[in-house]
This record gives sequence, structure tokens and C-alpha cells, in this order.
Amino acid sequence: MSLSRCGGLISETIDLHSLASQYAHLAMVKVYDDIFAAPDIEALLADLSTAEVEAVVLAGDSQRRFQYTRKGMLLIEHLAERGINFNRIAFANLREQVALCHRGRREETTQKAKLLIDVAIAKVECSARGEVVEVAPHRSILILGSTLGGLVAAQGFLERGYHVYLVDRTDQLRTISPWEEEVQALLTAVETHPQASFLLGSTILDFSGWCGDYSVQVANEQGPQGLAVGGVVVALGGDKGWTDQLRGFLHIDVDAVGFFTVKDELTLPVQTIDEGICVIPRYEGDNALHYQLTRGDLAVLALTQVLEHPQIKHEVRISKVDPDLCGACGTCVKTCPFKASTIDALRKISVVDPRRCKGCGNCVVACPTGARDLAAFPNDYFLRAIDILGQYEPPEGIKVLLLLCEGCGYAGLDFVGMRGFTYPLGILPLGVPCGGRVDTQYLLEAYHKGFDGILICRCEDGHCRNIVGNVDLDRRANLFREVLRSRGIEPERLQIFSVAHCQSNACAQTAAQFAEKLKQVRILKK
Amino acid sequence: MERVGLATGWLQGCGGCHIALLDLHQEFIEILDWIEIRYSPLNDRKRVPEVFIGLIEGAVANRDHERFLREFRERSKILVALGTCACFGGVGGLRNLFLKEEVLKCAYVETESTVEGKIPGGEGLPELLEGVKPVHKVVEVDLSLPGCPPPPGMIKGSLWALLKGEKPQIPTRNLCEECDRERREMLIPKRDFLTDAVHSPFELLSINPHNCFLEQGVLCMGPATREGCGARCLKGNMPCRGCMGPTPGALEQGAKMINALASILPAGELMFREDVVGVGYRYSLPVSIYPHLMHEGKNG
Repeated sequence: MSLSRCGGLISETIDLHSLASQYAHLAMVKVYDDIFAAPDIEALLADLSTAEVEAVVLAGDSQRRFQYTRKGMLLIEHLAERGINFNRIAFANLREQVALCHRGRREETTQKAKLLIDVAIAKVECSARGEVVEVAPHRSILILGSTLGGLVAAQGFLERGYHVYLVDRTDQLRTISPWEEEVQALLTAVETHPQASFLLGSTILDFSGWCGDYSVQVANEQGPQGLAVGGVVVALGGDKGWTDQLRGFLHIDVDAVGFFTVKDELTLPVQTIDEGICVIPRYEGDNALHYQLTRGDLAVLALTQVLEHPQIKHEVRISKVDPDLCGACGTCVKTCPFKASTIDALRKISVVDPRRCKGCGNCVVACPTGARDLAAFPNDYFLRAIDILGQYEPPEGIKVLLLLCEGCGYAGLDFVGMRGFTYPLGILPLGVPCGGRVDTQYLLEAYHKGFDGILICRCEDGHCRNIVGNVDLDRRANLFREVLRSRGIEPERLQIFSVAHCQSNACAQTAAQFAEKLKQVRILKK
Repeated sequence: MERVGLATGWLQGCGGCHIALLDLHQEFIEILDWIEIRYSPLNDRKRVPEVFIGLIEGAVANRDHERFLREFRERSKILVALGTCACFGGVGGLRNLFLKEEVLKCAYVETESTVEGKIPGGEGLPELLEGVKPVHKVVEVDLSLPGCPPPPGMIKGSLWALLKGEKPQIPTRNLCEECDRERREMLIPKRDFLTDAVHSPFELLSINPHNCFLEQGVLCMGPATREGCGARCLKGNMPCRGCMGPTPGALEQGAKMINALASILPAGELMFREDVVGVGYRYSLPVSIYPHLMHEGKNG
């Protein structure tokens, strides 16, 4: 396990050395100054080679810093090179979730930090080694949207010898009037290139696959056709209608107003949560021309960097199917919005297409037999996490399980920490891949383990990256409230809320109000 | 050849599981070549003798059930929880939704009667437990045979296996696997609900006997219910009510059904039309993750 002081931010509040001494039984426990600084990365990697380490828990920074920023992603790559399986790396967010939001309470925060570390350890212990699949990438690119950014990217790929399919739902190239002159040369270069195919007036019928190997069904007046491409550039400009249509196909996040967005404006300006899809975001500022040109080039750079490898590795995070439990009822088929589940009629069992599965876990929850499990977020992990967090005795008395979806909720609580807002210690965060992964069985389990209430923070309506995670969560919660009433558990003890694109204090406010409400409920009961 | 001793016991249950034994008809007589019933509710024997197999029917609902069950366990080399009540608490377990006092008051005081109601009690009457419990919450169980009642074939197969010293094989998938009804819409990856409306079977003028109940807007517990019964209700054109309990992969039946229904039938309609709790937990409330009312000091 590695504990990071985060340059002193954490050690100010939490007693890291007393924490480290509690994990003496692990293969290795080390405290580093700042896990992202070169000397500490080198020290960590050197330490890893001295001990036999199968799994790594990084305690300190938010998991988002490892998944959504370049420096974090590089560190994870280093770990992967050392043979640490992606499924055996877990994070305990001591910075945003403990130190920054509960300043000045050394003893209590150290205790809470231990719980979060225990949960992270449970995650690596419960997760099996994840399978890695290798694919040889296609040397072809799909450009969605004939905007300036799209054309720049198209030209870049053509220059590098890729075949480019430029698809747009409009019949003509999008008029880019103010820049006509600048664009004309570019357009000619693309239009006359033998490796470029224009598919205007097209609709996307189907989209599946992963970085290096996407299959796309496109239809226009000439009829339908199938494309096989290695990467995708999404350059829709301000076309909201088309964005909405494509959301069902592309597994990428949208911003506060519903346009496709990137991982990190600063360090990953065109990259999305799908490695093979780059987005040139809508931009309406003064330097729109400049912006579109640079983003187009950046998309070419980002994608070629990946596609130039002879083989691309894919981490399989999909759900497994237990043949002893699956009775082929079809619930998973109805549930999955990505059409990843089908029933094999001969074997009478459900099968998952790894090229379509996004690992959201909605089918794992929906499966009425428990035949499915998610490789990266297994059932056993959630049960153990709830058990561990349930043992906490908060000083204020009220204990709340705060489930955070990976899309928005997790970032929402990070924002609270970064801004130094505070909330009661008894609010215990637990990350879930998506609102759709919230199993009502876990909620019952949480009440059973002594939580006073459960808060679920999910993406805003219509913003779920897994399209229906929110919807299914709400439907389940509605039915589930009946179950709560029947047990004498006030339905108000379960609250679902969303944060407006992670940039608000909503998490802290809602959590504090919720804890206050639970206190009132408790007084009324007595 | 010496026959093997068998005892059958009866706790809080309707006796249907004993009838299921008799439903083996002449096959039951064949079994009697191998086993001897040394104790049953029909024998006039005061104490349970030592036997090889003990079949216990019903759930544990009062102090006397607890006492009897412990004795029964001690005398049986292999204890079989026979039927849904013994395995999960059964229909009688629905009383766990209320406090004991509420249940007694409702039954003896508030219910219309020609005489003034009084809660019975005192010496000689076993005290009612706070909540109904399945057999395995009181003593160790070697084999569970769910079903209300358990299918006679399953009882026979299990008895044979036990006599031969083998582990009885009880199927573990869900009922849809055994159900002959055709599923069409359920197998199409389309996010729309199967139907706009939810119906009780009696509301429909006709029910297609060849098609999936869910696709006809009738709530069927089949997906969240363990197979093994041969889909007998479905063959009689009635939806599954879930008596075989959850599959071994599910923590509990009701919550799992709620999870599954989210993408199958409209939740609003379901809440209006169906008793969600009654349907999801009709047979399995006492083994639910949260089996009781949230009251402090309430014992399991």
C-alpha cells in the first residue's frame, strides 16, 4: 500500500504514520511525499520491485486524478508495466474525502481514513485478475461532423496515411461562412484525397467496438453500409439534435448543457473516457477558428499515438455469466442500452459481447438470479465495503452511506473537498460505477448494518454516460420505497440527488441537510 | 434388509408438504421398502426416536417450535428442511411485517367476533416469537427442499440420493429455464417496457397459454424464482408466485425482482396495481436481508 502526503495536504490533518503502522501485515506499506512527483514515482517503482506485490492500494489522491488527468494515467501505466493487473489497483481518497473536508480533527479523520483504506483493500481482494484482450487497430478513422475541427482532423489523418470516413447527417458540408477562405484550401485537400470518403446525409444505425476496432453501420440515400474504423473523432459543433441521437451509441460524457465533453480541459483536451474516441468540443468564444484548428490537430495526435501501436490492449471489465444460475430469462437483454447482452438460444444462457459492454453493471443489478457479476466492481466487494463502513461510529451519531456514481457524483464530492467545504463525519462515501449499479439488495444491507440513511448522488437527468443508469436507479428506488415502508423504515431515509456537472457545493449541502433530517426522524421516533 | 429410520415433523405450516409426500402415490410405497417412518404427526409417539433422515415442515413461530426443532435435530442424522416455510419462513412469515402485539391484537381483539376478544396466554400455551424464523436460523440444516409444496419428484429424488450416500442435486437456475412459454419481446434488446399496463390475471378476458406472462403485462415471479418445480403453475396458466424462493446467487428475492422489473414493466403501474411487498416477499420475508420492522430491541 502506498500512502501519499499529497505534499503535506493530508499529513496536516491525518496521522499517516499511525495509519501506516496499522497495516504492518501487508506486503509493503510506504509513506510518500507526493506520489506524482518524479522522485516518489521512482521510489514507488523501486519499492515494488523489491517485494512480491500483486495488488496496489494508492491512498491519498482522488481516484479521478488517476483516471482523468495525464499525470495520474501515466502513473497507472507505470504500475501496469510492473505487472500489476488493472483490477488490482484501488484508491483510497484521503485528500478530498477526508483531509480537506474535515480539517483540524486529527483523531477522527485518521479513523475515517482507515475505513476508506480498508474499503480499497477489500476491492483488490474481492476483484479477480482482469482479462486483457489485444486487438490490431484498423488504419481508418471515422469523423462525425463536417465542422472545421472535423476537417482539420480529417486532413491530419489523411496525411498520415489513414483512410477517413467523413460522416454528417446534413446533406452538405456544414457552412462555415466566416472562415470560408481559410477553409477552402483545407476542404479541397480533403475532398480530392483518394483515401477520403464522404458520407453526407447519413444516419448512424449501430455502433460497437473499442479503441482500434469499431464497427459502424451507416445509412444514407445509397443504402446502408458497414465501416470498420480504428478511431473516431466527434466534431459536431453545436448540433444538439445529432448529439442526442449519437448519445445512445458513443460511451462518452456530456457537459452541463448536454454536449459531448472531454476528460480534462487542461491535460487531456480532446480525450474521452473511451480511448478511441476524441471530441472536439463546441466552442463559441472569440478565437473559435484557432480553437477548432488546434483541437483538430490534437485529436489527430491523441489518436495516432494510440493507433500506431501494432496491438492495443483492452481491459475487460464486463460482467461474467454463471451458467449454473442463468436461466436465460432475458432481463439483461431488456436492460442493456448498448445491446451487449443476448441469449444464446442453443446453450440457453445469456452471453455478453465485450466489444459492446461498457462495464456499467446495470445488468448485474437487473439479473434476478444473481448470475452476473462485474469484474471490476464485484458483488462481494460492495457487501464488504458496506460492512466495513457500517462499523464506523461517527461522533455526531448519524451515519449515512453516500453512494457516488463515477460520472458525476464522485467528482461532485471531490469538488466539495477541493473548495474546503465541510460536512458531518458520519457521511461515508462509496464509489459505484453508475447509478445503475446500485442494487436494492445493497440498500437493505446498509440499513441492516446500521446506517441511518442512504444518499445516492448521480448524474443529472439525461446526462448518464450509460444512458439509462439514472432512469433504472429511480425506477428501482420508487418500487423499493414500498419495501422500506413495509419494514418501518421511513422512505425519506433514501434520497437520490444529482449534481450540476460536478461544479457545485450540492454534495456537501445535501449531505448536511440529510443528516439533519435524519436527526429529526430519530428524535420523533423516540 | 433393515430399513432406514425416517421421522417427519410439523411446525408452523399447512401440512401440504406431508401431502406432497403422499402425492408420490405408489412410488411412496416403493420407498417404504427402504425406509421406515418411525415418527410423524400421525404416529402416536411422544418422543422423537433416533433416525437417519428427519424431514421437518413449517417455520419456527413459537417457543414450542424451537424446543421441538432442537430435539428433532438432535435425533436426526440428516435434517431436511422440507418446503418453503421450513426453508424461508413461507406465507406465515409475512407476519414479520408487524409487531407481535399488533398481530395478536388484530387476530384476537380487533377482528369481528360474537364474544369480546381477549389475547390468549398463560401456562400451557407456547409463547409466540417476535418474528417467524426459517429452520436454519435455529438449527443446522443439511438439505433444503424448497417449494410450496416441494415437488414430489424432488422429494423422492433427494431421499434416494441420501439413502445412497450421495448429495441430492437441486437445480439452481431460475424458472424461465424450465418454463415452456415462448419469450419474444424479452429477448429483443429494446429499452421499451414490455407493456404499457400491468394486469392481474383475473382482469384479463383471456391469457395466451403459450406466451410469457410478463409480455402480457402480468407480473410473474419466475425470473427471480428458483427452478425445480417444473413450472407447474405456468402450465395451469397462472403466473409464478415465487414459492421456490430465490436462486442461490441472489441475496433475496424481493429486492432482486424490483431490480429486474425496472426495465421490464412500468414501475408506476406496478405500484398502483400490485402489492409490491406482498408479491416480492410472499414466501421469503423471514430470510430477507432486513426481515423485521425497524424497532429497537426486536429479536430475530
